[in-house]
Amino acid sequence: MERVADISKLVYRHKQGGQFRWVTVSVLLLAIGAILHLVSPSVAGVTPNWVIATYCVAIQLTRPTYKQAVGIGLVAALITLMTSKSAFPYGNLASEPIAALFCALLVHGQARFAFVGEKTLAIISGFFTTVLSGAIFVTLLFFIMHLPLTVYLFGMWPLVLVVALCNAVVTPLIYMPAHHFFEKQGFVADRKEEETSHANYDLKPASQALISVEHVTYYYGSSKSSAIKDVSLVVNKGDFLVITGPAGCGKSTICQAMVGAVPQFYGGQMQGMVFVEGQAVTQTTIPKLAMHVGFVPADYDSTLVTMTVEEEIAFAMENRGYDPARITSRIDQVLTQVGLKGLEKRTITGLSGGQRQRLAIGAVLATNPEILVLDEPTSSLDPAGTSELYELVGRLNKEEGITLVVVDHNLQAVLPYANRAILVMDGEIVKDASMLDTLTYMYEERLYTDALPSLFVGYMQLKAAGYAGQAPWICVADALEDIRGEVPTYVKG
Amino acid sequence: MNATFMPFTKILLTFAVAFWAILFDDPLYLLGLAAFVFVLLLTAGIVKVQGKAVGMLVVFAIILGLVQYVGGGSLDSAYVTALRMLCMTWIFLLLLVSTSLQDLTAALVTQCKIPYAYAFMFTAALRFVPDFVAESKAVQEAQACRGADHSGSFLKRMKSYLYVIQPLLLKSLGRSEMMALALELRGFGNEDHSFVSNVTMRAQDYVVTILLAVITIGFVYLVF
Amino acid sequence: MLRVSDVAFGYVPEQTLFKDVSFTIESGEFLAVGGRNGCGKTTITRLLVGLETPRTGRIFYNDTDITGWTPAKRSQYIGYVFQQPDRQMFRPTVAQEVAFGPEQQGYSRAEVKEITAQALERVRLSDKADAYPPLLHRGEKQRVAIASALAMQSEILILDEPTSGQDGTETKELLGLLQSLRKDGLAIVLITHDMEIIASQCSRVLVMGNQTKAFDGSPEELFTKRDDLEALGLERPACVSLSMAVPSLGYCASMEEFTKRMITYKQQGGR
Repeated sequence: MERVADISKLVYRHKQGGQFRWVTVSVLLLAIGAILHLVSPSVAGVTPNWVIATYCVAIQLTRPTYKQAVGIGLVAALITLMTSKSAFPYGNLASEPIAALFCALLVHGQARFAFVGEKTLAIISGFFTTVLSGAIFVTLLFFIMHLPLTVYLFGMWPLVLVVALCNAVVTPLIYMPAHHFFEKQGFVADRKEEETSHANYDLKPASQALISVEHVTYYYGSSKSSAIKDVSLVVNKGDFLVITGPAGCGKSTICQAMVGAVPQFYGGQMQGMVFVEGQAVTQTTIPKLAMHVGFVPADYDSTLVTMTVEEEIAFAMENRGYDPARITSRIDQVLTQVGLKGLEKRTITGLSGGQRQRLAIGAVLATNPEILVLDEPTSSLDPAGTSELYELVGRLNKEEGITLVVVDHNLQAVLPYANRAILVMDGEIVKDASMLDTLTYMYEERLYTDALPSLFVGYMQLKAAGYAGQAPWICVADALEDIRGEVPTYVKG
Repeated sequence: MNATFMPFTKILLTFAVAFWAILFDDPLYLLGLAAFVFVLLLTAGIVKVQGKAVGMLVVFAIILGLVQYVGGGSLDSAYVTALRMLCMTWIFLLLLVSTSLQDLTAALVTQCKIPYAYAFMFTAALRFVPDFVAESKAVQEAQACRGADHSGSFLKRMKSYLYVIQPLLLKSLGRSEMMALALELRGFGNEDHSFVSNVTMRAQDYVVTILLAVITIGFVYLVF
Repeated sequence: MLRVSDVAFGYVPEQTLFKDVSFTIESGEFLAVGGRNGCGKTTITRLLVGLETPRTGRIFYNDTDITGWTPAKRSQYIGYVFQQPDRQMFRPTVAQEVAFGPEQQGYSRAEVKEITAQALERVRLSDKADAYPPLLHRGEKQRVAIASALAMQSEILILDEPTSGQDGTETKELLGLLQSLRKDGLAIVLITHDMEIIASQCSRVLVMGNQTKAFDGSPEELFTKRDDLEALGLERPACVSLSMAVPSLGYCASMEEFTKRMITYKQQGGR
């Protein structure tokens, strides 16, 4: 084992993108395919086969293995059965997996024919995949139902070809903008990059805190400028820590680093190290870290993947092989914790935005993490929802002893609950102190003052003029007390 | 029905009935089989709650029978086609409607040995369907407020349809990355997977399974 | 300019969301629409743009009855910025995105180009004309959506909770932009939960509640005279509460105004 003298010099590189992009892209595209199928315009019943078009796009975008492609086809068949009441389900179960496999063959074969561009490939795969799928379907129907040959040849086959032509048109129309989006976001599927291993290092944190971020500098993907620079901080047990700063300052990157998503999911290059309960994040995996640190992103909606509330809470526990009895009792506890008791069987679609967010928090709490990291939790909530949310997480912090890290720019709402606040400007930590000290610092140094609660600014201005008491105004009641207490003495004086 | 038999038993029944339907060439046998499936639908309460779907499949079977007849088949062969179609689709409807998605997934993975990732993808996609329906409505509204007209000829409708698809597509691709991270965070892909749903076969399931096997052998013997 | 006359509406026949709603919107107004969740504040604006049809009552634009018009036809008069601006974006560049509306309206290529350039200029996004919309910041996406609405050449701009999720700086910029558009003669209609914004920015407030229009008047009147604010799902902003605690201070529409007056007041009181 090699010791590291200066942790700030330690470099780690990782490939961009996790292992499940093919899963999520296929899921989302197939869901779109299913909807398009239901409402597509048609002429005399002829319409493109949107489900085939969408799995062709998914396969071309994410280039899955052959086995995975067969799986995508199987999923497509099952979805067709469930959503459009397929006229002949057995046909789909055979045709889609085979056609999807064929599509993957075409996509992987592109490497040998360099002259075939992305758009041409989309046209070719859109057409031939549909022909193959249709051919298998009608042939099965023909044999099983003993249909007349004339119907098969002059009724069914022309229909297959017309639908395939429609798909040859719509597949590239879906694929090209999707490809453009992937390129712009830097999600190019087959980029070869060197990866670093830290297996041979003996990495020990400088602090025994729950999380210790030590001299971290991080570059996303192939970016030349760093998202965060030499960031060091600790999260202590029982903390309610707020990280704030202007849009794009790197506050979200810091919280992604605490869950290992930076660098293990987003790739790029990291210097320095993050330790979670003494464990270096480069020497473990994201799922293992998640047992200690629960993470709810700003876009919490994307994390909800099941049909009903109770399944969502069970998801992480099922994935980790928990005993069914233990899962059932834990669902009960967690739903009580987040205030969703009684909604076990409700579908996620039927929940309000605030309820979905609490569900996302509950789903993360299910596996009992000691730390909860929330990235911009109030960005899609109204003021009432915001105060409800902070009441909930404040309670988790106070009563259940869960350590909290929250990224937010709404400081008024979090003010009564947080014990510490960190201000990040341009990728660097400029202040790490108690909530009120950080606010005071921001006010005095004129840093990100737009985020300061207006009550606090009012207090500071009046105090500077000598007309306010010693205690800062946290809420209107404080201010009123202060003013009411003062005004009469003034009138007298 | 839901509580009486495990999903795997129902899957076996579905494929057994489909096999019998293919085996029989006599309209009378098929009529008997269709009656049997109808009784199952009736006892499971599906005729009541999904009457429309049950009826639609009848219409569809009749159309296929007509195609057979018009395409040059005999009257007998038209009956066979229509009834066979009816048996095969009705029994599938029984499987889908009487099994909860959660139980079906558990059975697909534990008993049909389909890898969990695919079973997950299937349920997850269905979870997003209603969300995306709402989303596409919102996109259409936003575009209507910018002067887009979603009516006109087929080509025009198709074009404006693509206008709706594209924002939906970009939004869902934007979601895919966070969703992939969330899956990793929640331990997706772990070898050791458990299910809350208990789909282990019970005594009555084994009885039905054995019964299905015996009947199938009997039918094969009868036909050949 | 826009006149709503005796409108009633409900999503399902058995339920009436609101009835007897009448009001007007004049150019140069900065109108806030507030109220409890589910009281119909978004719905009333959906009626204005034609996304819903009133059960009874009419809507007029400069005395033309537009009740039966489609949203597409009304878009030339009324622009709508939805809550999630990225929902509608789908074109490869900002300029093309903004051009979608005028293209649908049937302008020539040169006209579309000019209208687009003007709209981007007004929201100060000309330098981002060729940028890829999904990569923009939250505040910029919001401005693209506003430019898209401006490109319709409409005279009324409705925004559904545009400040939700935006931080202090973004909110300040957005409000500055809306004020400048208002000075150009546009009527701004803002659906919002933010009491400080209602007090400091808006010339008039419309509150939906009790299944009808519960209030229509100045923010000052709303926050100082109404004693049913909580029942309406509203809250008195801190600056107003504080100014009311010092009776001789007068109504303060913002915290800034309060501290300024308070300091003057105290200085005078000291003398």
